Amino acid sequence: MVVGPYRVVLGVIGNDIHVVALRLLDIALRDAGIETRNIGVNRFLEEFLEAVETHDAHAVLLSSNNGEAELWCANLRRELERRGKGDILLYIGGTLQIGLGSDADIERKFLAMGFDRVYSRRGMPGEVAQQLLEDLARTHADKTA
Amino acid sequence: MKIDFDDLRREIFASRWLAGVDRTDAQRFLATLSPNRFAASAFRNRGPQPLLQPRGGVPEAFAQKRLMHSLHEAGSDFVPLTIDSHSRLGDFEVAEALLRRSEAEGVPLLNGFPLVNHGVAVCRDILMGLECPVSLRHGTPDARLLVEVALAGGVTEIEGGGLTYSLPYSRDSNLEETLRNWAYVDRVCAIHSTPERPIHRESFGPLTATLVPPAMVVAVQILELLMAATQGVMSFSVSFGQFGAFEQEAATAAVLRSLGADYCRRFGRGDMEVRLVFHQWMGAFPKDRVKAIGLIAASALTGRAVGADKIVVKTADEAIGLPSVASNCEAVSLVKYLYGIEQGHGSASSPEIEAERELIEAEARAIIEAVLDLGEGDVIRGCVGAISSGIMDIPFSPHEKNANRLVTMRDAAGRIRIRDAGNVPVPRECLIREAELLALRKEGNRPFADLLLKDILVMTGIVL
Repeated sequence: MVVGPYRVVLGVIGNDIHVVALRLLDIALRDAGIETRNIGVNRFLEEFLEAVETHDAHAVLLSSNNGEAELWCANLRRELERRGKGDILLYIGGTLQIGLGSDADIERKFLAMGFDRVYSRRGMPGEVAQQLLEDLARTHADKTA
Repeated sequence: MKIDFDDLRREIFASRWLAGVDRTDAQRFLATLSPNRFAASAFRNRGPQPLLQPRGGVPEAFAQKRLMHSLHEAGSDFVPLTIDSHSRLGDFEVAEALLRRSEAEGVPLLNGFPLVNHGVAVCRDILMGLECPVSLRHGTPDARLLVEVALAGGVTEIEGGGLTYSLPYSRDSNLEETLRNWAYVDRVCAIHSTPERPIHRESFGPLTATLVPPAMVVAVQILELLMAATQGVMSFSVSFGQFGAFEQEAATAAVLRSLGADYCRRFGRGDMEVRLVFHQWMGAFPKDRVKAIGLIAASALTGRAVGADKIVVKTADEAIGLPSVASNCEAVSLVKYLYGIEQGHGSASSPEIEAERELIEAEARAIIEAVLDLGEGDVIRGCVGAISSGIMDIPFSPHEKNANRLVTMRDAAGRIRIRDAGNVPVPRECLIREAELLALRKEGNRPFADLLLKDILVMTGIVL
């Protein structure tokens, strides 16, 4: 069991300042009792990794809206594993790809990259928060703090 | 704050992008232009209908010329020079590479016109033959070099400001530096102005266009007006974006005009010509073409009803991508048509509008006065302090210095209400009124963030 609230790092990855979805998710997560560490927009892989270390995060939520997500976070799961943080939950959402590919195809691709949940142009903030809480509870059900 | 202006100008003119251009070129060139090329003339001579301003920028010079001429033929009163996003960030080398590739491959690889790369001579060339004002549209925290090229090139209206072009557009621009860079822009516009040919400055009121309360829009507009007044600007537009609530739009128009006049007089600039610009809906647009065109039409009539001097026109392609020339001209001719088929009234009033007007004015004054107090006579210093302390707080700003403690949402009538003022000094009786109006909205147990998303997507036609 995790003692105290779950800690989630969130931010917008890449050269992207689209902040609206990120802000709504921050609000939804906090309203669901999650402690958020919002590193804001225009952030890169290293900054997310650093934030995970600094805050001893249980999950990372990435927002990306300029179609360049794959470019910036293809290595996220691998880098977390290298740092012994392979069991952290990874969520990503937004406009993840521009051009060809259905949302279902895009979600499959990102799941294969190591993300636990992918929201390609879908997902109400409250629903994402609830799902994250459920996933966190399940992940930590038989662990000690 | 006194800036050593001549030295600063010399520094800018040392740039390779101004090679061959002298600091006095702009003044001499602007004096040769017909008064019709100046925004102030268009405003002074405006008929009963608002003036039309589309947006538009493409990388290649001849294509930009064609775009501007087509828009003017379609009925626009101002033509746009919209700058690409790399130039806005000062990445002129990147813009140069993408411009060359665009020209070579015949495909636009920039989302606007790279004015600095094209330079003064090309700018003068593409504007030749246009007998209307050309307006610089962008979103640039440091616009000093861009504006020097624009003025020398014959552009006579400069959009933007230190608050309005930083808080909605960047994460970590240094606010004090940005405000001083925009003081430079204001000053350079002022020194190139004559009473017959003033260079016009237009602030950018929509900000993030995401649930920004009218009072905060007004406060930011008045502060940018005052910063421009301080530098001697003669002709200025305050602006705001459609809120999605008619009574608030009508009320905001009235408050901007009255506070604009009041504060100019108070700062000894009762001589400034202050105009009002209305931006058509700046939030998420409907994808459905019929709805998009309906929104453009309805918004055009709103802009006229609230007495705007100029309307910034959207296109039906807004939800899809950059508009084609055809779609841009289509929107301009639609609005032109609507303004031609019946006269319409110049002002709207009702008890509800009056109630909003009172509320917005009281809240805006309180914010403006708090900022002026903080600055002790220096508006820039006041603004910097106000942002870091959350006295000014822009909902959904990506800027890391923005407090994000002001929380807003729509009431049952769709009007933007303050749910939590954070550190914004909203007078107590106003907060009570905001809460009363908000209490009438009943939406069961939905998560707050879901309600906000619904409010944000109000014009899309998507039911959430």
